Amino acid sequence: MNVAPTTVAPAAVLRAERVSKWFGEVIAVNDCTLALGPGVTGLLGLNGAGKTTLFKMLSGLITPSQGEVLIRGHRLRRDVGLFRHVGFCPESDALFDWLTGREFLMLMVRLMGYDGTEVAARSERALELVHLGDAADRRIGAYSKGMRQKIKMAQALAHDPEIVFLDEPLNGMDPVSRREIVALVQRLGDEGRCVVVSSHILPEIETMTRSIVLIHRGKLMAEGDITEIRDAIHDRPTIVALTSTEPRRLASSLAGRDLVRGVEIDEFGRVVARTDHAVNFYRELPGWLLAESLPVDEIETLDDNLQAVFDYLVGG
Amino acid sequence: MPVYERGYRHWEHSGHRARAPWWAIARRGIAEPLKSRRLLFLLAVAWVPAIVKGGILYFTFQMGELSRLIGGKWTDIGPRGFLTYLGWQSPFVLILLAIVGSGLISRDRRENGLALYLSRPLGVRDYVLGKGAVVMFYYFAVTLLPVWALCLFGYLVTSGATGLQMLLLIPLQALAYCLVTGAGFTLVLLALSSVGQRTVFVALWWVLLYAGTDGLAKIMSLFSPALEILNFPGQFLNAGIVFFGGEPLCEVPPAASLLVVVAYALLGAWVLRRRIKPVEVVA
Repeated sequence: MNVAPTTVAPAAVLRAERVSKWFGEVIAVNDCTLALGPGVTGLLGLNGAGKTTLFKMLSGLITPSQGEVLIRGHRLRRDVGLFRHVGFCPESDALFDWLTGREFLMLMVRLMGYDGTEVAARSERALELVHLGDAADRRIGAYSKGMRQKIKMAQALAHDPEIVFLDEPLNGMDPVSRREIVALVQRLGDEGRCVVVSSHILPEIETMTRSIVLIHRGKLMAEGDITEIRDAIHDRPTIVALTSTEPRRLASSLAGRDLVRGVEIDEFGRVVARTDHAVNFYRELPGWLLAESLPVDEIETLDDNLQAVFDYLVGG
Repeated sequence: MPVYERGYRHWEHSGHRARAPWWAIARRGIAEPLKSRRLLFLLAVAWVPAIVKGGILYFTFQMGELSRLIGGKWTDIGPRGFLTYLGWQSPFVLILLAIVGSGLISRDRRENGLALYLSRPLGVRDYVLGKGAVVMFYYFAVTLLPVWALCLFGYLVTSGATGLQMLLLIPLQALAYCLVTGAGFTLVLLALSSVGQRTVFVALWWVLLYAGTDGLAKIMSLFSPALEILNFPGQFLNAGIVFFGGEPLCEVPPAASLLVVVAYALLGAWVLRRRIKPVEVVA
Protein backbone atom coordinates (compact mmCIF):
# COMPACT_ATOMS: atom_id res chain seq x y z
CA MET A 1 0.00 0.00 0.00
CA ASN A 2 1.40 3.39 -0.92
CA VAL A 3 0.32 6.67 0.52
CA ALA A 4 1.11 9.73 -1.51
CA PRO A 5 2.92 12.47 0.38
CA THR A 6 0.18 14.44 2.07
CA THR A 7 2.06 17.66 2.60
CA VAL A 8 5.10 19.31 1.15
CA ALA A 9 6.99 21.40 3.64
CA PRO A 10 6.16 25.01 2.80
CA ALA A 11 9.68 26.32 3.11
CA ALA A 12 11.78 23.34 2.17
CA VAL A 13 15.28 23.64 3.57
CA LEU A 14 16.37 20.16 2.66
CA ARG A 15 15.32 18.53 -0.54
CA ALA A 16 16.00 15.12 -2.01
CA GLU A 17 15.18 14.90 -5.67
CA ARG A 18 14.70 11.42 -7.07
CA VAL A 19 17.57 10.00 -5.08
CA SER A 20 18.54 6.39 -5.47
CA LYS A 21 21.42 4.45 -4.05
CA TRP A 22 22.57 1.03 -5.00
CA PHE A 23 25.44 -1.08 -3.77
CA GLY A 24 26.41 -3.50 -6.48
CA GLU A 25 23.13 -5.14 -7.41
CA VAL A 26 21.36 -4.21 -4.20
CA ILE A 27 19.08 -1.17 -4.40
CA ALA A 28 19.02 0.40 -0.96
CA VAL A 29 16.98 3.50 -1.82
CA ASN A 30 14.87 3.76 -4.91
CA ASP A 31 13.80 7.05 -6.46
CA CYS A 32 12.89 9.01 -3.33
CA THR A 33 11.77 12.61 -3.53
CA LEU A 34 11.05 14.58 -0.41
CA ALA A 35 11.24 18.09 0.93
CA LEU A 36 11.75 18.92 4.58
CA GLY A 37 11.15 22.29 6.16
CA PRO A 38 11.68 23.68 9.65
CA GLY A 39 10.52 21.48 12.51
CA VAL A 40 11.23 17.95 13.65
CA THR A 41 10.76 15.10 11.19
CA GLY A 42 11.07 11.45 12.11
CA LEU A 43 12.63 9.13 9.58
CA LEU A 44 11.19 5.67 10.05
CA GLY A 45 11.61 2.27 8.55
CA LEU A 46 12.16 -1.35 9.38
CA ASN A 47 15.69 -2.70 9.53
CA GLY A 48 17.01 -2.97 5.99
CA ALA A 49 14.32 -0.66 4.60
CA GLY A 50 16.89 1.86 3.38
CA LYS A 51 16.33 4.28 6.26
CA THR A 52 20.00 4.54 7.20
CA THR A 53 21.10 4.94 3.59
CA LEU A 54 18.53 7.69 3.01
CA PHE A 55 19.54 9.36 6.27
CA LYS A 56 23.19 9.32 5.27
CA MET A 57 22.41 10.64 1.81
CA LEU A 58 20.37 13.47 3.29
CA SER A 59 23.18 14.31 5.69
CA GLY A 60 25.72 14.29 2.88
CA LEU A 61 27.72 11.32 4.10
CA ILE A 62 26.83 9.15 1.13
CA THR A 63 26.61 10.43 -2.42
CA PRO A 64 23.46 9.23 -4.19
CA SER A 65 23.98 6.93 -7.18
CA GLN A 66 21.29 8.97 -8.88
CA GLY A 67 19.45 12.17 -8.01
CA GLU A 68 20.48 15.03 -5.79
CA VAL A 69 20.31 16.22 -2.22
CA LEU A 70 19.98 19.98 -1.99
CA ILE A 71 20.19 22.37 0.91
CA ARG A 72 18.47 25.61 -0.09
CA GLY A 73 19.18 24.68 -3.67
CA HIS A 74 22.88 23.92 -3.16
CA ARG A 75 24.27 20.45 -3.73
CA LEU A 76 25.62 19.26 -0.44
CA ARG A 77 28.54 16.99 -1.32
CA ARG A 78 29.71 19.30 -4.07
CA ASP A 79 29.84 22.28 -1.75
CA VAL A 80 31.34 21.20 1.56
CA GLY A 81 30.98 24.76 2.85
CA LEU A 82 27.31 23.89 3.34
CA PHE A 83 28.28 21.63 6.21
CA ARG A 84 28.60 24.79 8.29
CA HIS A 85 24.82 24.70 8.45
CA VAL A 86 24.56 21.01 9.22
CA GLY A 87 24.86 19.26 12.56
CA PHE A 88 25.28 15.50 12.50
CA CYS A 89 24.93 13.19 15.48
CA PRO A 90 25.98 9.66 14.51
CA GLU A 91 24.43 6.51 15.88
CA SER A 92 27.70 4.82 16.75
CA ASP A 93 28.87 5.04 20.34
CA ALA A 94 32.50 4.85 19.37
CA LEU A 95 34.10 8.24 19.87
CA PHE A 96 37.56 9.60 20.46
CA ASP A 97 37.98 7.87 23.82
CA TRP A 98 41.43 9.30 24.46
CA LEU A 99 40.16 12.88 24.50
CA THR A 100 38.21 14.61 27.25
CA GLY A 101 34.70 15.75 26.42
CA ARG A 102 35.87 19.34 26.22
CA GLU A 103 38.88 18.54 24.00
CA PHE A 104 36.66 16.53 21.67
CA LEU A 105 34.11 19.29 21.46
CA MET A 106 36.73 21.97 20.89
CA LEU A 107 38.28 19.94 18.08
CA MET A 108 34.89 19.50 16.44
CA VAL A 109 34.06 23.20 16.77
CA ARG A 110 37.49 24.26 15.55
CA LEU A 111 36.89 22.24 12.38
CA MET A 112 34.00 24.60 11.70
CA GLY A 113 36.54 27.34 11.25
CA TYR A 114 36.05 29.36 14.43
CA ASP A 115 38.94 31.04 16.19
CA GLY A 116 40.17 30.22 19.69
CA THR A 117 37.84 32.38 21.79
CA GLU A 118 34.79 31.43 19.77
CA VAL A 119 35.75 27.74 19.95
CA ALA A 120 35.95 27.87 23.74
CA ALA A 121 32.70 29.83 24.10
CA ARG A 122 30.72 27.61 21.75
CA SER A 123 32.07 24.43 23.33
CA GLU A 124 31.10 25.69 26.77
CA ARG A 125 27.61 26.61 25.61
CA ALA A 126 27.12 23.22 23.98
CA LEU A 127 28.26 21.43 27.14
CA GLU A 128 25.73 23.38 29.16
CA LEU A 129 23.03 22.65 26.60
CA VAL A 130 23.34 18.91 27.18
CA HIS A 131 24.06 19.25 30.92
CA LEU A 132 27.54 17.79 30.65
CA GLY A 133 29.51 20.65 32.17
CA ASP A 134 30.60 18.64 35.23
CA ALA A 135 32.01 15.79 33.17
CA ALA A 136 33.64 17.95 30.51
CA ASP A 137 37.19 17.29 31.66
CA ARG A 138 36.85 13.55 31.97
CA ARG A 139 38.06 11.29 29.20
CA ILE A 140 35.30 10.14 26.86
CA GLY A 141 36.53 6.58 27.43
CA ALA A 142 35.13 6.85 30.96
CA TYR A 143 31.73 8.16 29.84
CA SER A 144 28.54 6.15 30.18
CA LYS A 145 26.45 5.40 27.11
CA GLY A 146 24.09 8.25 27.92
CA MET A 147 26.94 10.72 28.36
CA ARG A 148 28.41 9.68 25.02
CA GLN A 149 25.03 10.33 23.48
CA LYS A 150 25.02 13.79 25.01
CA ILE A 151 28.51 14.72 23.88
CA LYS A 152 27.57 13.59 20.36
CA MET A 153 24.53 15.86 20.56
CA ALA A 154 26.71 18.69 21.81
CA GLN A 155 29.13 18.45 18.88
CA ALA A 156 26.19 18.44 16.48
CA LEU A 157 24.73 21.61 17.98
CA ALA A 158 27.78 23.62 19.04
CA HIS A 159 27.99 25.55 15.78
CA ASP A 160 24.31 26.46 15.83
CA PRO A 161 23.33 24.61 12.64
CA GLU A 162 20.13 25.16 10.73
CA ILE A 163 19.78 21.49 9.82
CA VAL A 164 20.33 18.82 12.45
CA PHE A 165 20.56 15.09 11.78
CA LEU A 166 20.12 12.86 14.80
CA ASP A 167 20.65 9.13 14.38
CA GLU A 168 19.01 7.17 17.22
CA PRO A 169 19.55 10.08 19.64
CA LEU A 170 18.01 8.45 22.72
CA ASN A 171 20.02 5.23 22.60
CA GLY A 172 21.22 4.15 26.02
CA MET A 173 19.87 7.16 27.89
CA ASP A 174 18.33 7.04 31.32
CA PRO A 175 14.75 8.37 31.67
CA VAL A 176 15.82 11.77 32.97
CA SER A 177 18.36 12.35 30.19
CA ARG A 178 15.80 11.04 27.71
CA ARG A 179 13.32 13.71 28.80
CA GLU A 180 16.00 16.39 28.58
CA ILE A 181 16.99 15.38 25.07
CA VAL A 182 13.40 15.08 23.87
CA ALA A 183 12.74 18.59 25.19
CA LEU A 184 15.91 19.81 23.50
CA VAL A 185 14.92 18.28 20.15
CA GLN A 186 11.46 19.79 20.38
CA ARG A 187 13.00 23.16 21.19
CA LEU A 188 15.31 22.91 18.17
CA GLY A 189 12.27 22.28 16.00
CA ASP A 190 10.33 25.14 17.59
CA GLU A 191 13.24 27.47 16.90
CA GLY A 192 12.71 26.80 13.22
CA ARG A 193 15.56 24.41 12.59
CA CYS A 194 15.09 21.46 10.31
CA VAL A 195 15.66 18.45 12.57
CA VAL A 196 15.71 14.96 11.07
CA VAL A 197 15.56 12.15 13.61
CA SER A 198 16.14 8.59 12.56
CA SER A 199 14.95 5.87 14.87
CA HIS A 200 13.40 2.44 14.78
CA ILE A 201 11.75 2.96 18.16
CA LEU A 202 8.39 4.45 17.29
CA PRO A 203 7.35 5.76 20.72
CA GLU A 204 10.69 7.58 20.79
CA ILE A 205 9.86 9.42 17.57
CA GLU A 206 6.32 10.04 18.69
CA THR A 207 7.52 11.90 21.78
CA MET A 208 9.40 14.32 19.54
CA THR A 209 7.19 14.90 16.53
CA ARG A 210 4.00 14.10 14.62
CA SER A 211 5.74 14.62 11.31
CA ILE A 212 7.28 11.54 9.74
CA VAL A 213 8.90 10.16 6.62
CA LEU A 214 8.36 6.45 6.24
CA ILE A 215 10.57 4.37 4.02
CA HIS A 216 9.89 0.75 3.16
CA ARG A 217 11.88 -1.57 0.91
CA GLY A 218 13.89 1.36 -0.38
CA LYS A 219 10.83 3.37 -1.40
CA LEU A 220 9.31 6.41 0.20
CA MET A 221 5.98 5.15 1.51
CA ALA A 222 4.54 8.14 3.35
CA GLU A 223 5.50 11.65 4.30
CA GLY A 224 3.72 14.17 6.49
CA ASP A 225 1.72 14.44 9.71
CA ILE A 226 0.79 11.11 11.32
CA THR A 227 -2.92 11.99 11.51
CA GLU A 228 -3.05 13.09 7.89
CA ILE A 229 -1.24 9.96 6.80
CA ARG A 230 -3.61 7.89 8.89
CA ASP A 231 -6.55 9.60 7.26
CA ALA A 232 -5.17 8.82 3.84
CA ILE A 233 -5.14 5.09 4.54
CA HIS A 234 -8.63 4.49 3.18
CA ASP A 235 -8.71 0.73 3.33
CA ARG A 236 -8.29 0.77 7.12
CA PRO A 237 -11.09 2.64 8.95
CA THR A 238 -10.05 4.93 11.77
CA ILE A 239 -11.19 3.63 15.15
CA VAL A 240 -12.60 6.24 17.52
CA ALA A 241 -13.58 5.48 21.12
CA LEU A 242 -16.14 7.73 22.83
CA THR A 243 -16.80 7.55 26.55
CA SER A 244 -20.38 8.45 27.40
CA THR A 245 -22.87 8.03 30.22
CA GLU A 246 -25.41 6.94 27.59
CA PRO A 247 -23.43 4.58 25.37
CA ARG A 248 -26.39 2.78 23.85
CA ARG A 249 -28.14 5.99 22.71
CA LEU A 250 -24.85 7.30 21.36
CA ALA A 251 -24.13 4.05 19.52
CA SER A 252 -27.51 3.95 17.84
CA SER A 253 -27.19 7.59 16.83
CA LEU A 254 -23.80 7.02 15.23
CA ALA A 255 -24.83 3.77 13.54
CA GLY A 256 -27.05 5.49 11.02
CA ARG A 257 -24.50 8.05 9.83
CA ASP A 258 -22.93 7.87 6.36
CA LEU A 259 -19.47 8.63 7.72
CA VAL A 260 -19.61 5.75 10.17
CA ARG A 261 -18.83 2.29 8.88
CA GLY A 262 -19.58 0.40 12.09
CA VAL A 263 -20.25 0.86 15.79
CA GLU A 264 -19.83 -1.40 18.81
CA ILE A 265 -19.57 -1.10 22.58
CA ASP A 266 -16.32 -2.47 23.97
CA GLU A 267 -15.62 -4.20 27.29
CA PHE A 268 -14.94 -0.83 28.96
CA GLY A 269 -18.37 0.44 28.00
CA ARG A 270 -16.97 2.82 25.40
CA VAL A 271 -18.63 3.35 22.06
CA VAL A 272 -16.15 2.34 19.38
CA ALA A 273 -16.92 3.78 15.95
CA ARG A 274 -15.10 3.02 12.68
CA THR A 275 -14.90 5.68 10.01
CA ASP A 276 -13.24 5.91 6.62
CA HIS A 277 -13.01 9.71 6.79
CA ALA A 278 -11.68 10.69 10.19
CA VAL A 279 -11.27 14.37 9.37
CA ASN A 280 -14.90 14.73 8.25
CA PHE A 281 -16.08 12.58 11.15
CA TYR A 282 -14.43 14.87 13.66
CA ARG A 283 -15.84 17.91 11.90
CA GLU A 284 -19.41 16.61 11.99
CA LEU A 285 -19.32 14.93 15.40
CA PRO A 286 -19.93 18.03 17.61
CA GLY A 287 -23.04 18.88 15.53
CA TRP A 288 -24.48 15.38 15.94
CA LEU A 289 -23.85 15.37 19.67
CA LEU A 290 -25.42 18.78 20.19
CA ALA A 291 -28.44 18.04 18.00
CA GLU A 292 -29.37 14.98 20.05
CA SER A 293 -27.98 16.21 23.41
CA LEU A 294 -25.67 13.22 23.64
CA PRO A 295 -23.25 13.37 26.57
CA VAL A 296 -19.64 12.54 25.74
CA ASP A 297 -16.84 12.71 28.32
CA GLU A 298 -13.86 11.65 26.29
CA ILE A 299 -12.95 11.04 22.65
CA GLU A 300 -9.88 9.03 21.72
CA THR A 301 -8.59 7.88 18.37
CA LEU A 302 -7.29 4.40 18.93
CA ASP A 303 -5.24 3.95 15.81
CA ASP A 304 -3.87 7.25 14.61
CA ASN A 305 -0.76 6.75 16.65
CA LEU A 306 2.54 6.11 14.99
CA GLN A 307 2.60 2.42 15.79
CA ALA A 308 -0.79 1.86 14.15
CA VAL A 309 0.12 3.92 11.07
CA PHE A 310 3.42 2.10 10.80
CA ASP A 311 1.77 -1.31 11.16
CA TYR A 312 -0.89 -0.49 8.57
CA LEU A 313 1.65 0.75 6.06
CA VAL A 314 4.40 -1.79 6.37
CA GLY A 315 2.24 -4.66 7.54
CA GLY A 316 4.10 -4.99 10.81
CA MET B 1 3.12 31.38 14.30
CA PRO B 2 3.55 27.96 12.69
CA VAL B 3 7.10 26.78 12.82
CA TYR B 4 7.49 26.64 9.04
CA GLU B 5 6.83 30.36 8.81
CA ARG B 6 9.53 31.26 11.27
CA GLY B 7 12.42 30.28 9.10
CA TYR B 8 15.77 30.18 10.72
CA ARG B 9 17.47 33.32 11.84
CA HIS B 10 21.04 32.18 11.19
CA TRP B 11 20.76 31.13 7.60
CA GLU B 12 23.28 32.88 5.42
CA HIS B 13 25.18 30.50 3.21
CA SER B 14 28.62 31.93 2.64
CA GLY B 15 29.78 28.97 0.58
CA HIS B 16 33.13 29.15 2.34
CA ARG B 17 34.90 26.18 3.78
CA ALA B 18 36.28 26.31 7.28
CA ARG B 19 39.53 28.24 7.50
CA ALA B 20 42.45 25.83 7.15
CA PRO B 21 40.55 22.90 8.68
CA TRP B 22 43.59 20.69 8.12
CA TRP B 23 45.45 22.74 10.69
CA ALA B 24 42.90 21.90 13.40
CA ILE B 25 43.42 18.20 12.64
CA ALA B 26 47.21 18.57 12.47
CA ARG B 27 47.39 20.56 15.69
CA ARG B 28 45.49 17.94 17.64
CA GLY B 29 47.49 15.12 16.01
CA ILE B 30 50.83 16.75 16.82
CA ALA B 31 49.93 17.68 20.39
CA GLU B 32 48.54 14.29 21.39
CA PRO B 33 51.79 12.21 21.20
CA LEU B 34 53.73 14.96 22.96
CA LYS B 35 51.82 14.12 26.14
CA SER B 36 53.80 10.87 26.27
CA ARG B 37 57.11 11.05 28.14
CA ARG B 38 58.38 8.00 26.29
CA LEU B 39 57.91 9.76 22.99
CA LEU B 40 59.67 12.86 24.28
CA PHE B 41 62.54 10.63 25.40
CA LEU B 42 62.67 9.01 21.96
CA LEU B 43 62.75 12.42 20.32
CA ALA B 44 65.62 13.42 22.61
CA VAL B 45 67.53 10.22 21.78
CA ALA B 46 66.94 10.87 18.07
CA TRP B 47 68.97 14.05 18.45
CA VAL B 48 72.00 12.22 19.88
CA PRO B 49 73.43 11.50 16.39
CA ALA B 50 73.09 15.22 15.67
CA ILE B 51 75.24 15.99 18.71
CA VAL B 52 77.80 13.46 17.47
CA LYS B 53 77.65 14.99 14.02
CA GLY B 54 78.05 18.42 15.58
CA GLY B 55 81.18 17.22 17.35
CA ILE B 56 82.53 15.81 14.10
CA LEU B 57 81.83 19.12 12.36
CA TYR B 58 83.60 21.04 15.09
CA PHE B 59 86.70 18.85 15.15
CA THR B 60 86.86 18.70 11.36
CA PHE B 61 86.85 22.47 11.19
CA GLN B 62 89.48 22.60 13.94
CA MET B 63 91.72 19.78 12.77
CA GLY B 64 91.25 19.99 8.99
CA GLU B 65 92.83 17.11 7.00
CA LEU B 66 93.98 15.30 10.12
CA SER B 67 90.41 14.66 11.14
CA ARG B 68 89.67 13.26 7.69
CA LEU B 69 92.62 10.90 7.94
CA ILE B 70 91.36 9.61 11.27
CA GLY B 71 87.64 9.47 10.61
CA GLY B 72 87.43 8.85 6.84
CA LYS B 73 84.01 9.46 5.23
CA TRP B 74 82.44 9.93 8.66
CA THR B 75 84.03 13.35 8.79
CA ASP B 76 82.62 14.47 5.43
CA ILE B 77 81.27 17.95 6.10
CA GLY B 78 79.94 18.45 2.58
CA PRO B 79 76.35 17.81 1.43
CA ARG B 80 77.02 14.08 1.03
CA GLY B 81 78.03 13.91 4.68
CA PHE B 82 74.61 15.22 5.64
CA LEU B 83 72.94 12.49 3.60
CA THR B 84 75.01 10.02 5.61
CA TYR B 85 73.68 11.65 8.74
CA LEU B 86 70.11 11.26 7.45
CA GLY B 87 70.90 7.57 6.93
CA TRP B 88 71.80 7.34 10.62
CA GLN B 89 68.35 8.69 11.43
CA SER B 90 66.64 5.84 9.61
CA PRO B 91 65.92 3.73 12.74
CA PHE B 92 64.38 6.75 14.44
CA VAL B 93 62.23 7.45 11.40
CA LEU B 94 61.06 3.84 11.49
CA ILE B 95 60.16 3.84 15.19
CA LEU B 96 58.82 7.36 15.52
CA LEU B 97 56.57 7.18 12.49
CA ALA B 98 55.30 3.77 13.58
CA ILE B 99 54.31 5.29 16.91
CA VAL B 100 52.73 8.53 15.75
CA GLY B 101 51.47 7.55 12.30
CA SER B 102 50.01 4.07 12.57
CA GLY B 103 46.86 5.11 14.38
CA LEU B 104 46.18 8.36 12.59
CA ILE B 105 43.52 7.00 10.27
CA SER B 106 42.98 3.49 11.61
CA ARG B 107 41.84 4.93 14.93
CA ASP B 108 39.41 7.27 13.19
CA ARG B 109 38.05 4.36 11.21
CA ARG B 110 37.66 2.27 14.33
CA GLU B 111 36.02 5.10 16.27
CA ASN B 112 33.86 6.28 13.36
CA GLY B 113 35.72 9.55 13.35
CA LEU B 114 35.61 9.86 9.58
CA ALA B 115 31.86 10.56 9.65
CA LEU B 116 32.42 13.23 12.29
CA TYR B 117 35.25 14.87 10.37
CA LEU B 118 33.61 14.70 6.97
CA SER B 119 30.26 16.02 8.16
CA ARG B 120 32.04 19.33 8.64
CA PRO B 121 33.08 21.93 6.09
CA LEU B 122 36.20 20.09 4.98
CA GLY B 123 36.97 17.61 2.25
CA VAL B 124 38.96 14.38 2.10
CA ARG B 125 41.95 16.40 0.92
CA ASP B 126 41.86 18.59 4.03
CA TYR B 127 41.61 15.52 6.21
CA VAL B 128 44.58 13.81 4.57
CA LEU B 129 46.55 17.05 4.65
CA GLY B 130 45.91 17.39 8.38
CA LYS B 131 46.92 13.82 9.12
CA GLY B 132 49.88 14.08 6.76
CA ALA B 133 51.09 17.21 8.52
CA VAL B 134 51.34 15.20 11.74
CA VAL B 135 53.62 12.61 10.13
CA MET B 136 55.65 15.29 8.37
CA PHE B 137 56.10 17.19 11.64
CA TYR B 138 57.64 14.21 13.41
CA TYR B 139 59.65 13.21 10.34
CA PHE B 140 61.10 16.69 10.13
CA ALA B 141 61.72 16.68 13.88
CA VAL B 142 64.30 13.93 13.48
CA THR B 143 65.63 14.73 10.00
CA LEU B 144 65.31 18.26 8.68
CA LEU B 145 65.43 20.14 11.97
CA PRO B 146 68.67 18.50 13.18
CA VAL B 147 70.23 19.11 9.75
CA TRP B 148 69.28 22.77 9.90
CA ALA B 149 70.55 23.03 13.46
CA LEU B 150 73.82 21.42 12.39
CA CYS B 151 74.10 23.76 9.42
CA LEU B 152 73.61 26.75 11.69
CA PHE B 153 76.21 25.37 14.07
CA GLY B 154 78.57 24.70 11.15
CA TYR B 155 78.07 28.23 9.86
CA LEU B 156 78.92 29.64 13.28
CA VAL B 157 82.13 27.64 13.71
CA THR B 158 83.49 28.02 10.21
CA SER B 159 83.85 30.69 7.59
CA GLY B 160 84.35 31.29 3.88
CA ALA B 161 82.87 29.05 1.19
CA THR B 162 82.13 26.23 3.62
CA GLY B 163 80.19 28.62 5.83
CA LEU B 164 78.10 29.80 2.90
CA GLN B 165 77.42 26.19 1.90
CA MET B 166 76.27 25.54 5.45
CA LEU B 167 74.03 28.58 5.49
CA LEU B 168 72.34 28.22 2.11
CA LEU B 169 73.06 25.19 -0.02
CA ILE B 170 72.80 22.30 2.42
CA PRO B 171 69.66 23.58 4.21
CA LEU B 172 67.91 23.94 0.85
CA GLN B 173 69.09 20.52 -0.34
CA ALA B 174 67.92 19.00 2.92
CA LEU B 175 64.58 20.78 2.66
CA ALA B 176 63.97 19.49 -0.87
CA TYR B 177 65.05 15.97 0.07
CA CYS B 178 63.00 15.86 3.27
CA LEU B 179 59.92 17.25 1.54
CA VAL B 180 60.02 14.58 -1.17
CA THR B 181 60.90 11.64 1.06
CA GLY B 182 58.67 12.90 3.87
CA ALA B 183 55.74 13.07 1.48
CA GLY B 184 56.55 9.54 0.29
CA PHE B 185 56.79 8.11 3.81
CA THR B 186 53.68 10.01 4.89
CA LEU B 187 51.47 8.83 2.06
CA VAL B 188 52.61 5.21 2.42
CA LEU B 189 52.13 5.22 6.18
CA LEU B 190 48.71 6.91 5.96
CA ALA B 191 47.68 4.44 3.28
CA LEU B 192 48.62 1.55 5.58
CA SER B 193 46.75 3.26 8.40
CA SER B 194 43.67 3.64 6.22
CA VAL B 195 43.63 -0.05 5.39
CA GLY B 196 43.57 -1.39 8.94
CA GLN B 197 41.54 -0.63 12.01
CA ARG B 198 43.96 -2.05 14.57
CA THR B 199 46.82 0.35 15.15
CA VAL B 200 49.15 -2.41 16.27
CA PHE B 201 48.76 -4.26 12.97
CA VAL B 202 49.35 -1.10 10.99
CA ALA B 203 52.54 -0.54 12.97
CA LEU B 204 53.55 -4.11 12.27
CA TRP B 205 52.99 -3.69 8.51
CA TRP B 206 55.02 -0.49 8.61
CA VAL B 207 57.91 -2.22 10.37
CA LEU B 208 57.73 -5.13 7.94
CA LEU B 209 57.77 -2.78 4.97
CA TYR B 210 60.55 -0.66 6.37
CA ALA B 211 62.85 -3.10 8.12
CA GLY B 212 61.66 -6.26 6.40
CA THR B 213 62.33 -5.08 2.88
CA ASP B 214 65.67 -3.70 4.03
CA GLY B 215 66.76 -7.13 5.22
CA LEU B 216 65.19 -8.97 2.31
CA ALA B 217 66.79 -6.69 -0.29
CA LYS B 218 70.19 -7.16 1.29
CA ILE B 219 69.86 -10.92 0.92
CA MET B 220 68.39 -10.71 -2.59
CA SER B 221 71.10 -8.34 -3.74
CA LEU B 222 73.60 -11.15 -3.18
CA PHE B 223 72.02 -12.77 -6.24
CA SER B 224 71.46 -9.60 -8.24
CA PRO B 225 72.58 -6.13 -7.06
CA ALA B 226 69.65 -4.58 -8.96
CA LEU B 227 67.27 -6.25 -6.47
CA GLU B 228 68.37 -3.61 -3.99
CA ILE B 229 65.43 -1.73 -5.54
CA LEU B 230 63.18 -3.76 -3.21
CA ASN B 231 64.72 -2.01 -0.25
CA PHE B 232 62.03 0.47 0.82
CA PRO B 233 64.08 2.79 3.06
CA GLY B 234 67.16 2.16 0.94
CA GLN B 235 65.49 3.66 -2.11
CA PHE B 236 64.45 6.73 -0.13
CA LEU B 237 68.05 7.20 0.99
CA ASN B 238 69.55 6.48 -2.43
CA ALA B 239 67.20 9.09 -3.94
CA GLY B 240 69.04 11.58 -1.73
CA ILE B 241 71.98 11.44 -4.12
CA VAL B 242 69.82 13.35 -6.61
CA PHE B 243 69.61 16.19 -4.08
CA PHE B 244 72.96 16.02 -2.26
CA GLY B 245 75.18 14.62 -5.05
CA GLY B 246 77.86 11.95 -4.71
CA GLU B 247 78.21 8.27 -5.50
CA PRO B 248 75.04 6.08 -5.47
CA LEU B 249 74.53 4.09 -2.30
CA CYS B 250 73.59 0.95 -4.23
CA GLU B 251 73.48 -0.45 -7.73
CA VAL B 252 70.22 1.31 -8.46
CA PRO B 253 70.64 4.70 -10.21
CA PRO B 254 69.55 7.54 -7.85
CA ALA B 255 67.08 8.87 -10.45
CA ALA B 256 65.42 5.43 -10.53
CA SER B 257 65.26 5.47 -6.73
CA LEU B 258 63.59 8.86 -6.88
CA LEU B 259 61.05 7.42 -9.29
CA VAL B 260 60.44 4.56 -6.87
CA VAL B 261 59.81 7.11 -4.11
CA VAL B 262 57.35 8.98 -6.33
CA ALA B 263 55.66 5.69 -7.24
CA TYR B 264 55.27 4.82 -3.55
CA ALA B 265 53.75 8.25 -2.93
CA LEU B 266 51.31 7.88 -5.82
CA LEU B 267 50.32 4.41 -4.68
CA GLY B 268 49.72 5.75 -1.18
CA ALA B 269 47.60 8.62 -2.53
CA TRP B 270 45.58 6.18 -4.64
CA VAL B 271 44.88 3.93 -1.66
CA LEU B 272 43.88 6.93 0.46
CA ARG B 273 41.55 8.17 -2.27
CA ARG B 274 39.77 4.83 -2.24
CA ARG B 275 39.73 4.24 1.50
CA ILE B 276 38.78 7.60 2.99
CA LYS B 277 35.01 7.87 2.98
CA PRO B 278 32.64 9.41 5.50
CA VAL B 279 30.91 6.10 6.04
CA GLU B 280 31.87 2.58 5.20
CA VAL B 281 29.15 0.68 3.46
CA VAL B 282 29.14 -3.08 3.49
CA ALA B 283 27.07 -4.13 0.53
